[in-house]
Amino acid sequence: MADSDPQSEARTQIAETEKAEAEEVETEDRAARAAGLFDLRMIIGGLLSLYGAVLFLMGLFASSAIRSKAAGININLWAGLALLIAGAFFLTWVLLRPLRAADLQDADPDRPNVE
Amino acid sequence: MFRVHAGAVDYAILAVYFLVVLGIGFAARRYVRTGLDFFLSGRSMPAWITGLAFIAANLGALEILGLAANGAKYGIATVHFYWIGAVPAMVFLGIVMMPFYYNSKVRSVPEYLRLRFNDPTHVLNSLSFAVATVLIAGVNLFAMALVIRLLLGWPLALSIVLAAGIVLIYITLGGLSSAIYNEVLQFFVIMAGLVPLTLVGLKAVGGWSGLQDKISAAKGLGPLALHPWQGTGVGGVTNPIGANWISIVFGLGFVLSFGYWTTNFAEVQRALAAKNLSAARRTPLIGAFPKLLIPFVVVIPGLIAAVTVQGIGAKTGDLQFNNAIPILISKYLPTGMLGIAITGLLAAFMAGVAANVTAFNTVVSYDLWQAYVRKHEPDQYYVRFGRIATVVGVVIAIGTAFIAAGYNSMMDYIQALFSFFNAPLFATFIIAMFWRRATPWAGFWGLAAGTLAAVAVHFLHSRGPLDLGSPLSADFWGAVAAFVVDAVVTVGVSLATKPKPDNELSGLVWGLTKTEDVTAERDPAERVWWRRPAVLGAIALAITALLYLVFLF
Repeated sequence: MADSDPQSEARTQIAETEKAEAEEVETEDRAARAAGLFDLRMIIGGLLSLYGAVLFLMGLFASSAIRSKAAGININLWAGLALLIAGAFFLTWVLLRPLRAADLQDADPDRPNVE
Repeated sequence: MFRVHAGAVDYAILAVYFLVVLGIGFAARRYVRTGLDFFLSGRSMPAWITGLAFIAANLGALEILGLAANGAKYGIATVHFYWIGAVPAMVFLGIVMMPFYYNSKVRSVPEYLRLRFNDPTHVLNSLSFAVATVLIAGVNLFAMALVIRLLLGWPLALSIVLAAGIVLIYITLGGLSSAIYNEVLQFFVIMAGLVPLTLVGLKAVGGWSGLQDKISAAKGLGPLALHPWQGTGVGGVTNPIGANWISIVFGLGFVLSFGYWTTNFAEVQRALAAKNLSAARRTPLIGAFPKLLIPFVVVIPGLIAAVTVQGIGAKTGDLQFNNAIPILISKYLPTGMLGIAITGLLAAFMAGVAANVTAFNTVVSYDLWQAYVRKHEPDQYYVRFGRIATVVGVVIAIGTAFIAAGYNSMMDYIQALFSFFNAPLFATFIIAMFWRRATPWAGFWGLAAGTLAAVAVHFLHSRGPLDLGSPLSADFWGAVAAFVVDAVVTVGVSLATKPKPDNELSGLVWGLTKTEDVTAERDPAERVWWRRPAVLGAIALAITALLYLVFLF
């Protein structure tokens, strides 16, 4: 009878997916991979800083023709500065609160079960 | 006409972005082992990442080009899409609906319907969603290719295949994790492009007061284009948006936006990737804060374009409203900033494609293939299948993009199509979650009838017999009709058929579901006031009200 009920089949399929994940989470390998996983904040911080530095340098050598295109603002200089600050924010965040393997592991095991 | 002189630095900025995006894909691949990893990021993401991904997923071509176009066409009233539309809906999703989605452990939005109603309801929703998402992905690709052709002169096929190829690689490799990480990165790059563009544009028109003067004097816009509510009275609509406040509040706000933000799996999937219920609930709430401010860098540029670009608003060609932002980029940004802005646009469009493709591959794998074709294969089988579904989805999207190139108003058709399915869905979900008496077949017939109602209103208006004001206003009324018909049919069929017993509805319906979060009670760090969903939601709504007040004067 359980087989004929579409809902119980859906619940079984969900449970199978959860079980595969639970088994995987328990492996040592998982913890090691999680620890080695890149930190997104580092990538955002790095990319914004790089873009910021490039724009800032271009802004330093901006001709008046370039400024007049952007309504008289040396937009490369200011946008570059803002990007450098934003990039520094993310990199500082990484330094102050480094990613721990535990951060990737704390999916709640006590989450109430559907059944 | 708007071709820019991109320098080596601009291309280098673009190339670096492509490399980083692919790098994220390769890095995320090491993390993907199980089906849950591939389709839902192993339910492991912190709330700030899923929150930013939540809004970035939607920040694609339709929003950046479409809402800037609306700004140029209808004026400030376009902010309704954000402040009466998106933000309240996101708050509602986080506070009220998320516990049902997250605690039931469903792997997709259609799967909720499978548990709550029956297989026919599930198939109807899964199929329509799969088709709609892949079409939207294609439209995003096409819109992106048009912009790149306008600015850089690349042939359409080149940018379509390049952008689709990159998306294909990083999703096939890293699944939802790489899509989400790239969405967050994309969010910052697009902001780095749009914020300076807006500031330069404002300076060029003489600041905010200069913009106001010019808008007031502009034909087609006028003083009312500066007010979101004035001139929206019932019976005497003079606001350029062409819709009265009832259709704005109920049609756009309550039905269309709630339907989109709370039931569209491409959005909800980001929240399901969060590491616990508390983070899942905070996902749309955290997203609501940047969302509040996005009109300042999308709608305002639209207004600036309306008064600075000679002849904008053409029916065809380069001067269409949709090109408002690309034209401003070509007009005001020097090399350097130009590279950032073009990279931001490309990034946004690629993320729009990726968000739809990740939702598509999950629904195809779990809701169609596993549910009805190969039911009990090992977990790894579905990971492989999901990768294949990704390739197929991207290829169909490319095909759609090329078809779209042949039809001028393809974009409008697809948006209409999408709204046919979204508007009724919200009625079905609200009733499903709050009325345990709603029966399995009520889900199916309600959804089918609601969709038909939306289609009927659309064609009655576009073919003439029913005059509902502007096309936008007609969409709003279509949504209201879909909602009402769906609700009436769902209730009617429920009363005539047999409901499910309570034990089958546990975790799915209000009163039979634990809504408080176990983690939140145990972990003191989760209990601080600024992490409480109700507090976050209240602050977001308060800021929205404040912003409206500012624009009343």
